[in-house]
Amino acid sequence: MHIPDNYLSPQTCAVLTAVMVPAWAVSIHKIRKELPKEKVAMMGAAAALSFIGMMFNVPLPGGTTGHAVGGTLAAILLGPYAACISISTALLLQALLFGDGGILAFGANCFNMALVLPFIGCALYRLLTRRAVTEKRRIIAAGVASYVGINAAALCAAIEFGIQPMLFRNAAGIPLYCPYGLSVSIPAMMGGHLTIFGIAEVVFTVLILAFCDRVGAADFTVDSGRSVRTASAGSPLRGVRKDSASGGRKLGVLIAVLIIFTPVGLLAEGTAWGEWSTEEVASAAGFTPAGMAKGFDWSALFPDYSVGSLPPWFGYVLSAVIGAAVLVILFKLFSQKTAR
Amino acid sequence: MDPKFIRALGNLLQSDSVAAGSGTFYIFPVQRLALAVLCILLCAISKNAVFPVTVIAVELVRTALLPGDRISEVLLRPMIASLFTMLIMIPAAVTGYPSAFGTVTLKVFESVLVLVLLNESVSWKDLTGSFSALHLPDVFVYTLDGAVRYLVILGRFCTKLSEAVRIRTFRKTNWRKSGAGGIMGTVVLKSNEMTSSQYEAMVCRGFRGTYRVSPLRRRRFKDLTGRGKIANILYAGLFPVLLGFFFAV
Repeated sequence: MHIPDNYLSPQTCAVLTAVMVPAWAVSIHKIRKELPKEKVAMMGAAAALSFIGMMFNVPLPGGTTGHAVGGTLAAILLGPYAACISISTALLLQALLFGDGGILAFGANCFNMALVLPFIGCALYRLLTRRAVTEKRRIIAAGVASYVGINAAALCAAIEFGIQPMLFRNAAGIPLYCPYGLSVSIPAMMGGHLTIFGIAEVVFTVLILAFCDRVGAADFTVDSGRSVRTASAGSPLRGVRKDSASGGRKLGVLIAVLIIFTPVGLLAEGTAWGEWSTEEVASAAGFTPAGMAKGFDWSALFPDYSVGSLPPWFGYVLSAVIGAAVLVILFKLFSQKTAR
Repeated sequence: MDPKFIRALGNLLQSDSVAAGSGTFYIFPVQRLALAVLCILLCAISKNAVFPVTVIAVELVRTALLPGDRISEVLLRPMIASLFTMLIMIPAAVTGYPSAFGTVTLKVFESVLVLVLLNESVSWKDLTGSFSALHLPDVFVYTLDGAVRYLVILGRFCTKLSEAVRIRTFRKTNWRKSGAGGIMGTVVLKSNEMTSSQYEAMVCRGFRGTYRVSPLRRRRFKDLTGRGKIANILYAGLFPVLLGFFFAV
């Protein structure tokens, strides 16, 4: 779902970035106003989980791949505004350091994965847990919300791809950017997300949410004011809050375990739909769109999560370590700044 | 003896011990120092950016585990050093050696970050004391310890003096003409006063011209708990791992 540079016209990128600027401003304002300092630091863990989740590529028959995002998970744990900033930061790091997602398309990627996904996911989660919330009901609601959230984000990405040939053509009628229209992009994107990638998002969200619940690392801000009954304790969750420091440590261990297993994502061969190189587009579409041939090119420090001559699995682990550590550091610094 | 000096020394020792801490997983300072030096040396002689990047990844994880208020202080120094290096290395990037520009900047960032994190995990007195484990003369350890301590105390004194001078100045003046010489002279006099105060204090405590670290204060391997012993053995295992990785990449 990471749209690379030159697939969308600069105009489309500018419009979507313009949509994101007020969203970021409102989110930061809400975080400063409403989120406690320790929860701001937790945003680093949410961003790291999302970053690592996006490294677990899942293959789909036909040679394409996709991944979970963890947007609904972050929204359930910290609220949609914090999720918006967490995932935007993870996407920025991916674009700048690892070349995953475009620099110009950063606003578009944030619109899909940091705005549409967490807000729709969170709204649906709230709707499904309006009444008395049991642990089982909450987990089911999180699963449904994450499935709908990622599909909504994929649909937005598909529409952004699909409108390019309609809006941006040269005098001969040849597309300047993404060569595939809505009739191709929507089935191609939604086919994967309605099946395998949607399930991957559900599994990722449900497992980590259950883990956070079990170790007491979660403080369900979207459940504030309501009692949540846990299966194990049989008492309201807010009343039997476990040691949050211990929960935070266990969450750190979970992140470390996930980092170790990130090379599993390398087993999935092929490129995700809409993330091909210019050569791949040329061979598939039969021509190279002019916007791609003379487009913006960013040389990332660790392209495709590889580090120099190191074996791909080691580069992948190292990239995950750097990404997770940088995100935790950034949000710890941010929490210090908001505390002042 | 000047009570202000005793207070300054006390504050410094307290902040030093608070910053360093010591727990069940006590690692010998000499091990930490040797590993940091080895990291910096291997990084300096590495031919590509792979080794520095790997070390930076590990050090970033250590930084991420620090409390938020320490992180900004820890990262500030490597950032400043890297920015300064980037400025110096601009000609390399312009004349067609961008990889040298990136590699040298990374190496500087890595080296400074390793040293800053070493400073975070080991107190000065343990660090200078660890030189005695390397069989360096006691007088060298003593002089180094005193020099580091006085650098900090006099640095703080200098800052306070210059602040006082600035507050009392009502117009813009060239720093050369604004009494910098006076500040430096006062600092020299102050250092002389402090040195004699420390000597008198040491004589009162039985100092006879030679400096020896008390065997009672030296921590040995057998003094550690089971967890501490395991931690030290595992830490020692990092040396061959680091060397092996260096030669592999």
